[in-house]
Amino acid sequence: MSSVYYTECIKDFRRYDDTKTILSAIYQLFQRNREIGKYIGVEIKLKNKKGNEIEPDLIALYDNETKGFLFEMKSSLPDDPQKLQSEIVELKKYFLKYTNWHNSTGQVNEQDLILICHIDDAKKVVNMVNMLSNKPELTFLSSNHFLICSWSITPSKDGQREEELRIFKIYGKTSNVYFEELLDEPGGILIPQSLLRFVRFTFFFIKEKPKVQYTMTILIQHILSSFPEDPGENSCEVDTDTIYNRSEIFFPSWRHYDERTKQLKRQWLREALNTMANLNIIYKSSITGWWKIPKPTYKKKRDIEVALCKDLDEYIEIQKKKDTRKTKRTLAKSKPVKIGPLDKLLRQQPKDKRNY
Amino acid sequence: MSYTDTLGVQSIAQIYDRLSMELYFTHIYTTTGKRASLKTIVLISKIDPESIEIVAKRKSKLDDFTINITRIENNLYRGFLRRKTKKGLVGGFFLLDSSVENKWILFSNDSAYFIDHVLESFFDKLYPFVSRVYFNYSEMKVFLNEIKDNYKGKTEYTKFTIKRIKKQTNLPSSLKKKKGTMILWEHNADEELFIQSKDYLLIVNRLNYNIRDNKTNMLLLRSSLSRKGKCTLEYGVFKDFYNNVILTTVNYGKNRTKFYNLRERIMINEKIELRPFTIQYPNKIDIYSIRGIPSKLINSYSTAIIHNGNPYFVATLSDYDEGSSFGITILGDVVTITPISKGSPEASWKLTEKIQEILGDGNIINVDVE
Repeated sequence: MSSVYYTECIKDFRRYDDTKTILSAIYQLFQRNREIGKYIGVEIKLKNKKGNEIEPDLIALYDNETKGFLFEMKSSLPDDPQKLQSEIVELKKYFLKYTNWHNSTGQVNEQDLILICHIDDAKKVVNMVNMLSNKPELTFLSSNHFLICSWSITPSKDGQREEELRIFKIYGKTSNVYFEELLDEPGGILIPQSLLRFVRFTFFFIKEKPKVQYTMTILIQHILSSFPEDPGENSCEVDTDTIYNRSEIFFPSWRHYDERTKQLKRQWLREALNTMANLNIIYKSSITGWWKIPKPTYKKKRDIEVALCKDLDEYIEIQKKKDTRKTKRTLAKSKPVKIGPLDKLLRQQPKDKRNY
Repeated sequence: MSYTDTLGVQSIAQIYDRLSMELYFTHIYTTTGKRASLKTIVLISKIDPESIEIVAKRKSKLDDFTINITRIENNLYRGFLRRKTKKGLVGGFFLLDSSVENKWILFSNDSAYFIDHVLESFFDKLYPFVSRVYFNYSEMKVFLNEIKDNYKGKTEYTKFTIKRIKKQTNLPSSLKKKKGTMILWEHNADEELFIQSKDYLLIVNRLNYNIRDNKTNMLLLRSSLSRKGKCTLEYGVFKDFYNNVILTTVNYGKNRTKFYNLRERIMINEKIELRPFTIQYPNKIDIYSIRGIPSKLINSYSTAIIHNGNPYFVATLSDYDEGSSFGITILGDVVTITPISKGSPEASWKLTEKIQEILGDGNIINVDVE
């Protein structure tokens, strides 16, 4: 029950949910403080003639639409220094010139990047940025246009104040004076209580791919639950396209997605559906591309994220044992084979067509 | 020969039309003597009463029940319902009036055991095809005020049946105050409720009341109202009771359905719109009550907990039976419910009731989203 995978699984689930809440917070910040800048959109693509393109989580313009503001959210960053370094180096692309900013010229004079990460990742990110900032090709890291922020929900003080959400600076700065002033307030930017109460349910995904347990929860609670039972059955049969269509509203800018982004998001859903079939939560129907969904779906005596992580943990253990047995047999017969990462197991298509 | 003999009706089973129903109930409840009260329950349903049997057959949790529905007049049905219980087979008759669109009114003067364990239980298990009308304490008071005006009389509360949940303190268990159901007999029990609310979360389950004529002080109605919309007639003219109490309950049901309606998270002009509502409490909700929420909802809702009440509580819920989903947060003295997917009025109302059964009665208020 308390394996590393299980504990991390629940932690990842909650962390992603909080991170998408911060996206809602930034969105609300622009809605309420027009002085900071003009909100353009969530997951809007910026392109240039050289074929480079970026898709930050949120884009805004400020200083009479002459400057750009890019927000990049990270629910988690790798512990491995090499991978973390790659992530930081990759941020360089946000400082290229782009030609389709949503203003009259399509261009901006300069742009700022705000990286928002979880407080647990803050120290390692800042250390890495400090280490890399001397490199000539990464001067943006020490410029006035790169900022790292984090956030925290501060506990309540009995009788004095309720819990608060604050976004605060941990490294760097931007040239947006008004935004900097807000950040320089003691404790950083205080997000209105309405965010904690209901605005947090505005967005359900950020650009970063969620862990499969998160997508499965969204599917079970908000999408599959809305399909009615088939007459006379304790289940319903739905095709994959209908599930995709019903899910679209949960992605912030689905109307603006190009075909590639659409396919990418559909891949998240497909992975979740296949994993659910592997865990026997839903079943492949006898008709190709259709799913049989029991009603109610995944009724458990515990919280859904806990139950899903437990089932995933058990599934991985079983697959691991199966693979070990298979490997031993193969080793006895022929040359050694490589075993892929465990997460890969979850992405596999269910092998047998179970009839529910 | 008694009046009921002349009418040819000795029990609900013999009622043959709306007029005989009115005359029979008026006769019974305007004469003195010992008798079971008439219980009426207002339900919300869009299905045809004649399809109850078919719907019931599809629900495995209704295997213990046998139901038979007969139409006796336009929009008036007689039903016989039986259930295998711990006490053996328990059955009884009831009438179902469907003259108001999307509302059913059930009538029965059978035993309390039949009403609680057979009739109410059966219709509760028909959810989401059939759903209840709920009252919290402040809604009960507004409702009773309206009834008083309908009768042009004055109200006296005679009995409050209250569930008390002890607010958490650091007192040792030996010094902790009693919990559980409590009955207040005082005529001005309102004040006592206020005193109790300092130490307890209070859930008013039933309110018994009389309505008397303003001038003569003559008793016009002896009745009770439960938080699940069950109204009893102990004394009074049936037709007045129907017009002044039952139809007021029906209207209340319509108004509250309107309040909970169209709250689903939607996209309008490229913007996500949320339509939340809150349950407002007079004091900060205590951490221990908040932490008890998931375990108390787990049988009816799929719950995902993001923050487990420190004291900030955030969860998403999905109604297993109906499919609507919600975001719920608790911060300070406010519970905020944000319908997400589907968000039907019936499911929203039911969830609001469930939360109040755990945290006590509050005030339900719409959130004005800018």
